[in-house]
Amino acid sequence: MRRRLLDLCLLAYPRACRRRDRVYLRDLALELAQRQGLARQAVSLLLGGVQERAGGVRRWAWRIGAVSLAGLVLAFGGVAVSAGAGGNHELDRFACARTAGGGGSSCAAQARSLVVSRERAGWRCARRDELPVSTGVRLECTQDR
Amino acid sequence: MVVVTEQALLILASLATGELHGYGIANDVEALSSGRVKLAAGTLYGVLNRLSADGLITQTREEVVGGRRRRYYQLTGPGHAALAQEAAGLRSTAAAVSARVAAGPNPSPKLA
Repeated sequence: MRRRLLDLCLLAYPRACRRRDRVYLRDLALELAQRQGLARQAVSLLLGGVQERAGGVRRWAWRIGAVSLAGLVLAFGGVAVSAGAGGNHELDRFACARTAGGGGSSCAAQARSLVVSRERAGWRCARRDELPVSTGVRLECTQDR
Repeated sequence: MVVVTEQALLILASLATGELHGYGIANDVEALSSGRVKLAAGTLYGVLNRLSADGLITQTREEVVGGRRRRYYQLTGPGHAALAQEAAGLRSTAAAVSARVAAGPNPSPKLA
């Protein structure tokens, strides 16, 4: 009868606790009941089980909070790094190609004038393909901010 | 920083002289506190688990006595250090409070 009552009270504990410590905890309660009374032990087990469950919920909430915080830190870190990288270097690509009706030379001329104006503004431009100028040109201009 | 409650302090003190099982700890705590602190099973289990998690005590062995399982605990190095630190803190507080009690009340200032 005493064992059954204490076993019922032990249901207040999380399953993992019961699996690990049920017999030990019940035996401890039975021994202490001889000096302190069974009712006191039963109430203590009920309250202890509730506290143990509350502690488990708190630990989970803390873990979820920590993981969320780590995610936020990573996200902000990524944004900061990419912003930092963008702040040092700016790319501007310019490309043209010869059409069926011709125009390769005008393309090269346009590219040259573009390069001149960009370099005056502090840009550095370089060709990014190996095609002859007459068939088109692809330029990549960069500027440090 | 480990927060040591009165119950935890008394449990640490009961383990200061050597290993004890749960029932022995509860009896010793009652004796140490002159019957003021009576630890029931649920409370004792919770405090022992917390002290174990904090590394202040450790479980040493289990044995079955009279068909009942008993689990033994002992203080760890950090447990001894925490107990000594708490005892020093209590001595300091007791000295400060005793000095105030010995000095008695201040005479109330006279109104002009």
